[in-house]
Amino acid sequence: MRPTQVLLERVRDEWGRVLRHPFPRRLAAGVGAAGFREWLGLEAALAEAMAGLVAPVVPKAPKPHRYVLAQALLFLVEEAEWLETQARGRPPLPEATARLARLRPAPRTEWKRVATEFWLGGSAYFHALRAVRPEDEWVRAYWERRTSAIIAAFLHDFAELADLALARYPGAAAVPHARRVLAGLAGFWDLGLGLLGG
Amino acid sequence: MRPTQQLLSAHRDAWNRTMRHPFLRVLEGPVAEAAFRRWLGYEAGWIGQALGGLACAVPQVPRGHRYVVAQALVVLTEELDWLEAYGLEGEREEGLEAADRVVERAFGQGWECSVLVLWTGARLQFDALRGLEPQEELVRAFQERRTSAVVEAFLHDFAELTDLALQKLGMATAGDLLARVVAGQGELWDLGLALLERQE
Repeated sequence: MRPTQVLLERVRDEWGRVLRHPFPRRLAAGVGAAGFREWLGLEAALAEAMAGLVAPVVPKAPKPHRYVLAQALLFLVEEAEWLETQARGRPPLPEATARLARLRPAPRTEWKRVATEFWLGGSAYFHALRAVRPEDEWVRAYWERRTSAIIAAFLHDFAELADLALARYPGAAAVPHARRVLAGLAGFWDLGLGLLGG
Repeated sequence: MRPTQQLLSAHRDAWNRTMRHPFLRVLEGPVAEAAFRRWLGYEAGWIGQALGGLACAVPQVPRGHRYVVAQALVVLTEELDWLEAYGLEGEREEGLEAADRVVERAFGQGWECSVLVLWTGARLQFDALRGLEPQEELVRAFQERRTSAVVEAFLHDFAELTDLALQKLGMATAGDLLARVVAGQGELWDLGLALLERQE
């Protein structure tokens, strides 16, 4: 079994909770444009924080896999710019800003952890959103970006890098880190639910 | 005139001198493959340094300009993969020392310096290599990579950000940095020349 599959097995409960989180269904049910723009501002801040985590580890990953990390960085930067444009300058909420501030840039040696966590968070996002289909046109554009064939192909390539990382990354550390990522994503979507209204 | 053009005009003599470096003429003749692959190992050292320096600068680059820097990182990553595939192991450290002299004071001193160093270095290589007619296949492959349409498009897109960096640094600081990059490139080519001539 691939190391990424082993990790998913070991965090199966947390993974299931993220996939059953009410946020994607709330998005699909229809949301107000103003609340959705605030959510996009929050996502822009997350993408920017993630870019700050990925950038320093690109040169540390082994060839040819560092190319995948460089592509991830390019994706995050492009995504942050698109999200900011869509959010039309709405600043993220103070609570979200404080939460994102805890995402400190990783030391350059931590490519294995960054690669694994990026793959895990990206995969959870992809699968949770792909399970719904939003009605609102403005939500659809966002949803299509998160669930496109390009993202699927990218996550497929990224899983190879995560497999390599996990083979060199002790499971005793990877499992609690993975749990934190999934709990962080669920907490982030809790914030989103607050913005969109129940 | 754009700031990048002003900068190049102000340092045209040093730029042209480096473009006449004898290493470039040697690249057009018969070159021992083993020696050239050792040279590629030096190049990997320089590109590895540039990749590390630029990666750290990405979050500092103003919004709206980060995409072009992230694209540069992808290009550099591809280039490093190629150089490591063809460059000989064990020669990287010497190349790194030379590269360090060029970049140690530039990368890590703010995104403006990183951007200027990368654009200047890539532009100098583009200008110097594109007119060459190498005989050897591996040398030609190297030349084509550094002078491709992709690199030309990158230099064009990156010039806009470099203009912004120049405005922030000021012409005097930028000129000093450019002079160091040009001199450093000359030192790297001195090393390459010695390496290729030793093998003849």
